[in-house]
Amino acid sequence: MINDIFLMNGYGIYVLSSFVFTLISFLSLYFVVKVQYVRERNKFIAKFGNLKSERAAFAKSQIINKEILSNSSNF
Amino acid sequence: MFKLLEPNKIFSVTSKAPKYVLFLFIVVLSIGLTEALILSPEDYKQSHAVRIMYVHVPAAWIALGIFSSITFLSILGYIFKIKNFFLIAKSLAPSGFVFNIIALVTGSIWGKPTWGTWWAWDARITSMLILALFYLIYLLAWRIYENNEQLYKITSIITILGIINIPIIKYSVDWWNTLHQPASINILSKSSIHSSMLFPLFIMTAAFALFSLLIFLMKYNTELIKIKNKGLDRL
Amino acid sequence: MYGRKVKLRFFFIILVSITLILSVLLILKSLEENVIYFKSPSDIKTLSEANKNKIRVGGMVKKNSIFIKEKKLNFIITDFENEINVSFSGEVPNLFSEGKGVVAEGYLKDKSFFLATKILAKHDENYMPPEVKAALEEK
Repeated sequence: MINDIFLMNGYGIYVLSSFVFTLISFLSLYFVVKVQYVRERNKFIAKFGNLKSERAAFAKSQIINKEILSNSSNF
Repeated sequence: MFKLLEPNKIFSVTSKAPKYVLFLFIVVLSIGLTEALILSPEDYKQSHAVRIMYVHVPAAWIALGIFSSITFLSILGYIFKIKNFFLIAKSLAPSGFVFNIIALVTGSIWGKPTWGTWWAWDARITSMLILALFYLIYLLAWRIYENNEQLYKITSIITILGIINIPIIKYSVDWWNTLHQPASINILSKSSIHSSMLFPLFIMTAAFALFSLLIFLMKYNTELIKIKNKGLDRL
Repeated sequence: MYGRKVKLRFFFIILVSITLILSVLLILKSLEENVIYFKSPSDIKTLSEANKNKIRVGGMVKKNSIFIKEKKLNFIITDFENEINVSFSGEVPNLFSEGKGVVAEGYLKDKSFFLATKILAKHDENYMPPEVKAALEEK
């Protein structure tokens, strides 16, 4: 029974390899994009952290900078 | 109308969405895989090789769909100068490219046992390969050029050149003699795929669409954070 | 409602697209000979002279036309108007059978005889389980 599922009349190697290829592509794409995301987010946290300790009060006092922080009006 | 699509309003939604989309994707994919690999029947002619169709066809559909959306967004973005549209288009491209490669590779794996060859230079397969090249050019353009104005023009031109290829892919099997079979699913006429095989096909399409949505959201969030980082640098 | 620049860009895109589409169609039209993957038996009949180059012929395997003699496989490709005899020795794909699509690659001996060096099976767009096929045939 289990063998039948994997052998598929001799087509098993073709069917399974195409499904495995698909899943591997999914996983690689997911992790590549995830790594990029985490890297950018860490950069943001580091920068925002520095800002907070040094000039947060000053930065926040300016409306323009508030916009930049919440972002995108200037991109 | 386009004000609603501004990144700062979107980000609050898109930054939370990926985990739900990922969950939904895994659920739909598990249903799709059990249907496609175990529950669905074999074909009268190609036996179990028909199961390759359940990854091949959805991947090809989504690759075509994403390229069309990228073109649409780029043209609108170019005419109305909406930068956010270019950002969305850029974030859509990676999953479209990967689906294009999946369609080519699984098609090749299907071709060996059924046609008797891995590769044929017929119109459908060649035009699909050209689409993959356009995806690649598009993705590379975003890496090479730094200047935004330049980027918007160049990527728009690439997508307009590439979109001409889409109807050629679609109708290649009707216009010319090709080794590839004609379309089985048609909006206007009855599909020539039996209903027991249509169900797994549509489930897999839904799963693949969710996956490209997931990748799009993650990529888009990354782009938005990049912009925030640039904004912070300027403080 | 929209600025002059927007309108200009709109017409610019439209013009670029029309020009590109027309030129691509023109190129494809002139390359038609090379775009098609195989010729039908009727195309072969209308050839002015016997082509010595490697070509591909495709169509249906005629019913009851396959016979094997001394490891040589002979069959007839038909497009229901014209036919061509094909001779081949070697492995055929699983899907090769009577009444199904086929593409043969090889050389023309004359306009009604083709020496194939490779046989490819052409699948049609119908997908169904064996039981459904059996039920259809009973009808």
